[in-house]
Amino acid sequence: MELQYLLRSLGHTLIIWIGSILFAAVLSIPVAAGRRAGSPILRGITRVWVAIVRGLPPLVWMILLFFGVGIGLLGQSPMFAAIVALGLINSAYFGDSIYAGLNSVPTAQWDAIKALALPTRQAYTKVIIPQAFPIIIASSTAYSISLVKNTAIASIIGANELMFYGHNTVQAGANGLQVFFLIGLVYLALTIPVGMLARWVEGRSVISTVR
Amino acid sequence: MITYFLDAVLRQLPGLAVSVELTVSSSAIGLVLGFFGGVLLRHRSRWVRYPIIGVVEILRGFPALLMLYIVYYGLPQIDIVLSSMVSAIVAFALTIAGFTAEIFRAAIASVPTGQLEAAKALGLKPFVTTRLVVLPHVLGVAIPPLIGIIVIAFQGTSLAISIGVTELTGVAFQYGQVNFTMLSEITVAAVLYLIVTSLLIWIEVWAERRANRIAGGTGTGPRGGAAGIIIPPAIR
Repeated sequence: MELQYLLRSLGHTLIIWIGSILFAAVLSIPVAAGRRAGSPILRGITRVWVAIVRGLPPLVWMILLFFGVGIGLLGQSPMFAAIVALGLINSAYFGDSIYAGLNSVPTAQWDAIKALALPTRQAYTKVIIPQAFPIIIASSTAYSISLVKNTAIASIIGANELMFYGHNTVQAGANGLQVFFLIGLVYLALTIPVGMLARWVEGRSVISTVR
Repeated sequence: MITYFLDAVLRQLPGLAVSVELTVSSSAIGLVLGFFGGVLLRHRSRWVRYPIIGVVEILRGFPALLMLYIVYYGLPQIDIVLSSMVSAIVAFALTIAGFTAEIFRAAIASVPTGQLEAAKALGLKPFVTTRLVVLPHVLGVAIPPLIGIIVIAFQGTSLAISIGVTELTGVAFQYGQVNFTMLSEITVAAVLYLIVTSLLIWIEVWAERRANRIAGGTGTGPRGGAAGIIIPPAIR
């Protein structure tokens, strides 16, 4: 195992992970808005979209985008296709987190906003988001952790991330048991600190709302 | 267009059958292992509990694809050579066991103490208590999240394409690659996945409503099932 290649593939795993988190975060806002929309048609469309996005295995999404659609970067870079695929899937989950977070804010708070005639932006930044934040962070972190594990699937369409590296090393004659177990530990090393970080952020934001 | 779709569905049905076979056999093994794991996670002695926690964390923390590679490429190192189909079943069963162990543990923990005290007060023997009090409660609250796991397991069977199992994705991929019809072929496979997943989710929602009645309406949160067991979004 050459350290340089291991580090590079780890870097690619991180790029896919963070890229898809960012993509999902942006896309999750319209998803959450759609689920809270007043119009039943808009709500219906969002529900169908979420069901489709979640109903397909991540690998099928990746093959669909990389080999099927294959326009521009989607067809050239398996890493880009993986980011878009995982981003799409996770936008449904993140959207769910935001939706749940907003719903967790007591109705009295929404009524108070109306009674005070707070401008929408101020209402969200000062009242709603500080209260919804811990719940949004808690559940979207859980989803982000399983997203790390999903980046491994990108190796099947040829993104040269960690799993791809492991697979190649083993194909070249390395001990499969050792290599894959070691790679598993790398995944654990990625997910465990994220969980701890999330608990820390959650704890802090609870304190700040109480104050 | 419609004839193409029907043709493709007929062509892919054997692949879907393999996916379902993988799901059923790995879930059956995984649920049994997970149940014993869940019981052992609550063992009194830490010498039993801690190793089991370690194993469960590894099974849950490793990507399902990695587990598949460990079984398929790793086990031959210690002279255990399994066919690709058997490897897939074993690997997925292990991952499922890790996730369901946690669900069973939470479900057993959610049995109200009052019910256990009542059973004791009535002089029920431990075995009878397990059969009449604990088990009905556990099955009631654990079934919705377990179906959630099976949905993910079904989607996860697509990973078996990487070790050459021709399940649904594999069939669609091969035909699409040879005939340059990848987009339409994989779209048909996607529709089939969607139908089966939606069916399972529909059963899950129904079971959850029932479970909430059993647990006395303690269903919490949007993704938490009865007893507040959170369905992990993915094994993987």
